[in-house]
Amino acid sequence: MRYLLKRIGFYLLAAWVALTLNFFLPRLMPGDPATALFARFKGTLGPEALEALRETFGLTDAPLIIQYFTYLGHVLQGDLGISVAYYPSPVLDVISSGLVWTILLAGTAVIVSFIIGSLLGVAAAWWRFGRIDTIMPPLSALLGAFPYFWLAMVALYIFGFQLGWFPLGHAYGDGVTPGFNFAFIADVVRHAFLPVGTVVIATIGGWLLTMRNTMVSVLGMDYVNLARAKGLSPTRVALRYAARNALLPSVTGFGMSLGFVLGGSLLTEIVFSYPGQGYLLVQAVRSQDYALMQGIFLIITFAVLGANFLVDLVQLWLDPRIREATS
Amino acid sequence: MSGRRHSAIAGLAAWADAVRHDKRAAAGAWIIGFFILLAVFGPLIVNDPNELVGMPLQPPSAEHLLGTTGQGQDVLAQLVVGTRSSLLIGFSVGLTVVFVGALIGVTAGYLGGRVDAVLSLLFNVFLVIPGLPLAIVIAAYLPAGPLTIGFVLVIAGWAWNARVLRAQTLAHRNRDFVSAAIVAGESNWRIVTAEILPNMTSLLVSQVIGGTVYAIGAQVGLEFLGLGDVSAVTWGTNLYWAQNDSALLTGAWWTFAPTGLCVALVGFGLTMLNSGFDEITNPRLRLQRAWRAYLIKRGERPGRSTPVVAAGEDHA
Amino acid sequence: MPKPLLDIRDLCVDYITDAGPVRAIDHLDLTVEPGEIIGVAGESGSGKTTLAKALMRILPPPAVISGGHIIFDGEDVCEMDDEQLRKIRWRKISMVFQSAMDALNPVISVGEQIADTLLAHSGGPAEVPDEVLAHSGGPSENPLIPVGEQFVDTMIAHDIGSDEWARDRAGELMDLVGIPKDRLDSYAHQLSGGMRQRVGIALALAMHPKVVILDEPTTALDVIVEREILERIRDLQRRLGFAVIFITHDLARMLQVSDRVAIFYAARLAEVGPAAEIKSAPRHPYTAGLLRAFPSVKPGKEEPVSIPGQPASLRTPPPGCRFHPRCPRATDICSKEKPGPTVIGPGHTVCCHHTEK
Repeated sequence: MRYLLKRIGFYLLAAWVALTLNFFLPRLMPGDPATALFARFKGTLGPEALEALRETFGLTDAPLIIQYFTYLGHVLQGDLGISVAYYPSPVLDVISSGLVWTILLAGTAVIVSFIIGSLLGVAAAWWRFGRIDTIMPPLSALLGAFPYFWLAMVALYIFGFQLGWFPLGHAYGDGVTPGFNFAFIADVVRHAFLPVGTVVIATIGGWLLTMRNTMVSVLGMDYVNLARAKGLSPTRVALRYAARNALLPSVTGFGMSLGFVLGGSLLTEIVFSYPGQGYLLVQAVRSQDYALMQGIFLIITFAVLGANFLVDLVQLWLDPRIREATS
Repeated sequence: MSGRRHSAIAGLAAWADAVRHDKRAAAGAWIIGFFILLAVFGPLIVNDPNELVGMPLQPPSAEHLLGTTGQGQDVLAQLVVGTRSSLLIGFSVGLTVVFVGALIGVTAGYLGGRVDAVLSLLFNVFLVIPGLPLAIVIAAYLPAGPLTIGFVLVIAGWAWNARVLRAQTLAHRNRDFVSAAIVAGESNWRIVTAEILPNMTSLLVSQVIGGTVYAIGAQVGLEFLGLGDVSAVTWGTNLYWAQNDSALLTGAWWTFAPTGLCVALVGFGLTMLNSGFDEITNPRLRLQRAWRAYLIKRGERPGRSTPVVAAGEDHA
Repeated sequence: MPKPLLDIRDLCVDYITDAGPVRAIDHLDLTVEPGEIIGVAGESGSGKTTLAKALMRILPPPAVISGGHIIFDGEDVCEMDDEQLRKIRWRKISMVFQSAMDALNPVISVGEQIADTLLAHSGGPAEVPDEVLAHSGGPSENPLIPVGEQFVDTMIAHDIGSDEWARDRAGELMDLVGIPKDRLDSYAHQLSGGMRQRVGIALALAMHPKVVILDEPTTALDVIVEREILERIRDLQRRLGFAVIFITHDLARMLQVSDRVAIFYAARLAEVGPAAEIKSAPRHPYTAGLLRAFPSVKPGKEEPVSIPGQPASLRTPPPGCRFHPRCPRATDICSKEKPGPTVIGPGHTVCCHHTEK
């Protein structure tokens, strides 16, 4: 329990750091932050509206510390400002429209990739010097070296554009009504297949290599030797007595690489015009919509922190030593 | 002093060994060598990459080996010229993230106590904050260009190196030669630079390589988003323009395929160099290899149980 | 003379390195009789642990067995395939590892680790009758095997092969080594060093083996726990009648416990003989040196005297007798010829050119 409280404390701290970064970024940058933030509003908004916006961001003449708390207060109430690119929608509304798609895409991709990659890593280590161990590590290193979004472009070009097997973009087609019905779900799967697939292909090698290397050292441990000496069947030795232990560092790595994979997944969204945070992010960059950009950064950070907490729970379940050390 | 030079040289020699004895490390070294030559001399050979040389979106031909872009520039010239800045930023960022990581990680690991607690917290926080979105937000406020890209990539990427180097420093700190130096009253600075860092030489090299892989990939990503200087010629901006000119939907694969392949080859080469080095220096992996070769030479299949080899040579 | 339970003939084990093979066991001949305790002693690096793991063919890479035979109950372990090995491992020959902390899986409860072993070998009820016959029908070597029969009875009485059965049986085994049953759900890190080592012993006894190898089972423990463990092993060995191969570098401790003793030096056997004889009249100069180095054997009589020089390197072993550079009796022949085994009494063999005192 103390372990979980400690982790929660850490994530709260990380969230606070992200918030603070967000607050200071426009203020640290060259020039007047308000001008930078609202450059695009000039002409579209009257002076009163601009003043209201300044208020949201705490960009008043008040001392910095007051501005800071004004800002924190607004964020805690869910007020992230107004989007320029999607004027006059509030940033939070814009973001939440795409959040589910990003989580679907990145979440599916990262889980599928982790499971397949780790299994292949176990197999490569178990049949060391075997076919999987000879072919997969260099192959997956090569695939992993391609930029995610470039693989996405190639996949889209071949399977979408040339062969026409998959749609060219978006999360679902115009012909289906969103809801819990088969046609819609099937269409979502069809649209998600290529983006998920490219992220999986690009990231699978990392899991494979991590798992293979830890598994090779775990296989040299005395407890695996004992399991073998006990006359257990080979599959039992491999999965129960070695793979489970080898999984622990991979799970730690899983948490830490979530942010990285998510970054790649955002770029993939752009190629597929997938309506998630990545797509919004590029709109924000193009129209210099700083409020939206910063809002996305915050929300994504919070999502990653939440996911990391889930990983901690899994870790706790897998490793009795953590439970012990903290009780 | 000679001790320091000796362990640093040993660290580098291990790398030379890897390149000499491991096929993958050698392949990686060849690939990287080729691209470095291309980055240095390539731009002297090809034409001005910004020159409009023909009709837009011409497929590869004898005249333009990789076709033309949506603006009518030569793709090959853009690719070659882009190599220089992409590699330059890649290696500089790779070096810088390791430098910053070493500064913070080694300080934390060596000094320990409260300093360690604070610095560890710092890099752990930066590890969970997603790097690419952070880089994007910062880059968007700064003037577009290679310095901005490099800066944000360092901000988003140093924490990992700090974490690894802290752990490594902790391991070294408890070794006898460091304890001896502390007892002998050497200054902290000298112990770190003369006793600890030289012993981590090979790890540092491996981290620079890993950092470079990260930097090249992330740089291409940021520029693809339009956060670079879009008028400059780099691998990332090449892809940005390909996407912007709807290369995909017009079927102009030659505008994006070659660049992506080059990015991947460089990343692959660097990764191979690193994993080949691992294979050579990890004693367990190395002995397993020797063991396997020995068995195969004697017609035995390496199995799960201790193998029985017919008649071994007799030793005195 | 009855056939030995375990007959090691001319065994060689090599570790493969970049610079070629290094011999860790060099032409070893050794027998183990049913129900005896044989001690194996030698400095670290002399090949003791290698022998233990080689007997079960669980030596990890880069080791290879490069010659000889390990005849166990009439069958050569060196000729078995993985499946045959799986069947004799633990059922006939089991082992207590040097460090239970390393040998117990940290993320699986000790109860499950014992239960796993039982389930792996239960093979479902169909296979049991053979097992029953083998143990209770034939004339057994040792008339005192109540726990062995108890084991068989348990198998018949219960739903053998079920998780519940395995758990019950695991609990009994814990009981046998003196650990309360409620520790079944504990993990290795939650137990004390002595308890962990006892779990290791419970594990080793799970299948009622004929030979149990103890690989320095008490090195990590303090003296009191060590004695407690050794007494426990003696007691169980008397009740269950298994043979023990007891590996240690602590000659004094070994002489207290063993019936026979084998002394290793630099991958070779120096001397093997009855414990009492070795203790009172060692014939190999190395054995004599070891005895002087552990004076507790003859309390109060002598100061400990260490053997001069460094243990021989296995990479570049000295020619002839490997002990000659450190040997007070060494003559010219010692550096030239490898001393063959000389039988100097019943069950007492010495490899030395100068066995006369």
